[in-house]
Amino acid sequence: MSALLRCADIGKNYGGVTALKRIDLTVGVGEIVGLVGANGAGKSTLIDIISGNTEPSRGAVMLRDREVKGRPARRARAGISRTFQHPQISEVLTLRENVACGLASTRMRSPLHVLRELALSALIDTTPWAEVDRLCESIGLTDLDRVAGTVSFGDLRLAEVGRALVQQPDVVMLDEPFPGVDDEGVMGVLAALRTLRGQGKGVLLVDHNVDIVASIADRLVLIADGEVAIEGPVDECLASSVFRERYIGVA
Amino acid sequence: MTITVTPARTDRMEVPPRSRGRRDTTLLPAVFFLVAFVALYFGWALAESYHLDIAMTFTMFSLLALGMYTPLFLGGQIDLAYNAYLAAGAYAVAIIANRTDIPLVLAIPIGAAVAATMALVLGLVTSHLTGFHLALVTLLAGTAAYRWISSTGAGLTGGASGIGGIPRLDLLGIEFGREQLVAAGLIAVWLVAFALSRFRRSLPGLAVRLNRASTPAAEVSGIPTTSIRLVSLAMGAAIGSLGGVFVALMNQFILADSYAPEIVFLALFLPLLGGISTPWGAVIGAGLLCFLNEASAFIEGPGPLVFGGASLAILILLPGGLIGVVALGWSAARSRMRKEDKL
Ligand SMILES: Nc1ncnc2c1ncn2[C@@H]1O[C@H](COP(=O)(O)OP(=O)(O)OP(=O)(O)O)[C@@H](O)[C@H]1O
Ligand SMILES: [Mg+2]
Repeated sequence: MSALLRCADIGKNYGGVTALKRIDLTVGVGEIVGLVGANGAGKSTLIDIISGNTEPSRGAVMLRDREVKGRPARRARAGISRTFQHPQISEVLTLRENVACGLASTRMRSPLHVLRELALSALIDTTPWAEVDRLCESIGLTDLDRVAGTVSFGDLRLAEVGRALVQQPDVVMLDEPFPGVDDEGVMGVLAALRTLRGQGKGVLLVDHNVDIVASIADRLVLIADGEVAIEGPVDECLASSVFRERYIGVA
Repeated sequence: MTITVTPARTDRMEVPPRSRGRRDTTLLPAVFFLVAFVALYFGWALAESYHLDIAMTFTMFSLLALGMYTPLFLGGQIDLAYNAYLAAGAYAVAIIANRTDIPLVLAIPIGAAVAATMALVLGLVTSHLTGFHLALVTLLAGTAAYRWISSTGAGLTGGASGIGGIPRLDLLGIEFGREQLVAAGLIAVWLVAFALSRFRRSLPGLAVRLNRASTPAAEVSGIPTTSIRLVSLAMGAAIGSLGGVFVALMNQFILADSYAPEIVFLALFLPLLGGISTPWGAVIGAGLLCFLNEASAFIEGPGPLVFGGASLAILILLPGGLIGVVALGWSAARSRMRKEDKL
């Protein structure tokens, strides 16, 4: 399997604290990788580094063998999308509008695109709302006219997932998307991830619910002490004593 | 008072999930204000000469407040140099009329370009700083611009005594006298407010609004946060300059004192008074200001104090502004009608 996303020798220090020592990680074409680790292992930090929200102290991120650099918006346009562990949305926008913001990665690619959207904005509504609605429905997010400030935590997460998926990314990274989400939502998100896998996209999935992650991932990566402690097929990992000691043992 | 039973949750589940899609909520207010403006113009403004002046003051404050609407109330960017943007429009008219052979109508794009450029520069120098710095820098710029035009102005601005002798605008064979200018002003206000109400709900508008709530979220959505911030600042400044253009054409002279920084603080209140959930709130706020200004000698004397006090009272009692009250009443009436339908 060829690598879609590759993290090479990533390290991150916060002042004197070492969050990540050395991480090498790949996500292949059409592969769902489950990234697990105890609290504070550095999973979110790694996602932040890949998406450009945090600068690494060391190492590089490659998408299809080309280094990705620069601010998050640029990486989003290059095909990397993500959700946040603590949902980052606008509470005054509706769920539908929050999700639609992800369309910026394709529709506001260049200053020219931005100007075009601006010029059109007063005249006609060219946003593909039906597409947004369909995507939301597929992950179990309904009643999209609700203002985001009034919905449950689970629906906020789903809105974030929707915003990440509407970008039609090559690689999507979900940082604990499931807490607070009901069964229907979990099934919806998993189905959407399977579809992405079928389309040859890559998924990096972080969640503390190992059962859910194991049910869909092609491969697990466990990070502990800032390094990859073990990685491999799901069954092998789950059976290994290292996995139990370094993750379940700690948790 | 009738007591209505809230339908049990199971009732709602039986309704098939309708995907009504997104309703266009911009048309109703636009039609309302179109009718209101037509009535205001023919029924009131034309009746007396000084009504035309009030209508022009309304136009100017509306455009000023509409200018602030996008950067401030959608984007959370506190730009306080709006007196300078207003002056850019007015002085573009006066200077082009008196010192150049450029057609007067070009004062509109030239004033807008000067104002937008100023806003861009101020936005750029503060782009790695916080919103607090933008407020500080623009306040300084607005004050400096006022000092500059009211003193030497490089021999361009006529100092404190300003510039007179602005001819009537002649466009496509129509001479824009006072009546025509007021009509054009009202049309401009209507168009700008309508366009902004649509912009607010469009992808770039949503981008500005998401960026206000969370820049990381906007960034990972692919929104070019720096450009969209600059664009909203420039857009607001250009709209503000239009107010200056109209006032200068109306009065045929300009005075530096009309562009003192105080005007910004007055304008800041207007969208809040009307309600910030739609750009029409800025228009309502401007209307209220003109009405109150008529009711007493407001802007002179103790006016600002009374206005400030009254505004504060409205803001505390009605956090959604005047539109918020109407919207509340409307949604209450609607949910009542729905419940009655069901029974
Ligand atoms: N901005 C920061 N400044 C200092 N230390 C930080 C910062 N962000 C994260 N850390 C530290 O880096 C380490 C990794 O944190 P991170 O949030 O990436 O872990 P995680 O695996 O996502 O944990 P969780 O499962 O709780 O979400 C932690 O020790 C954390 O305290
Ligand atoms: Mg985390």
